[in-house]
Amino acid sequence: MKITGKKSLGKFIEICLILLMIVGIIIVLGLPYFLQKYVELTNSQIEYYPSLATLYVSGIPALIIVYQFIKIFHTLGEDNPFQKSNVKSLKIISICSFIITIEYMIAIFFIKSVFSIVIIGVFAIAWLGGYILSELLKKAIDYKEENELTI
Amino acid sequence: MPIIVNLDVMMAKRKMSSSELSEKIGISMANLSILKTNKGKAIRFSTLEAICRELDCQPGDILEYKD
Repeated sequence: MKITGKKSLGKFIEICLILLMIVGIIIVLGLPYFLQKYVELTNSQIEYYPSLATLYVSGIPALIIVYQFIKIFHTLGEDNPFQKSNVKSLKIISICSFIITIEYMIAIFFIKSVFSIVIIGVFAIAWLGGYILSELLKKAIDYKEENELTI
Repeated sequence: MPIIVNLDVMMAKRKMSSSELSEKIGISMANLSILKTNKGKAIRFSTLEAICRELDCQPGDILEYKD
């Protein structure tokens, strides 16, 4: 299936990513309000400020991850994905995932929920996967350079 | 880089311009320029063959090893 170009899956993915980014920004900006509403509606016994802090620390790296994905996808659309900037983007994704993993490993002692374990699992995979992919891309760039400079 | 391409010396001897040579050996001017300025990483035997044929010289005349 075609990923890039017009009338392909690419446009759909791009729109999804941008929507994710917009919704993400709205949620992060309105976190205090949304959390307040959540507490009122569900009558849950969570501590307000620690929960808010946890959500901020995971929300901002998540937004950065989405932004990096948009950047990488953009270079793919330009048909030139083998760039040093993409290696950096993948590294940033890896670091952000690592931050979220560590954060929820600490938070699991306070938020006793199955979802914390799921989040730890998913972001640990993203952390290691992002790192491996960034190294892979670096090697690919080296090969491409070597190939281009062989005359 | 210990291997040095002395292409411009040989070209001057044969009084051949870059554009003429690039046309004769079938590579772009940009690639020939990379070769001449020692920015290349490798050279294909086919390219070397074409250069030697057109400039009527040996590979040793254009490639030099310097420690």
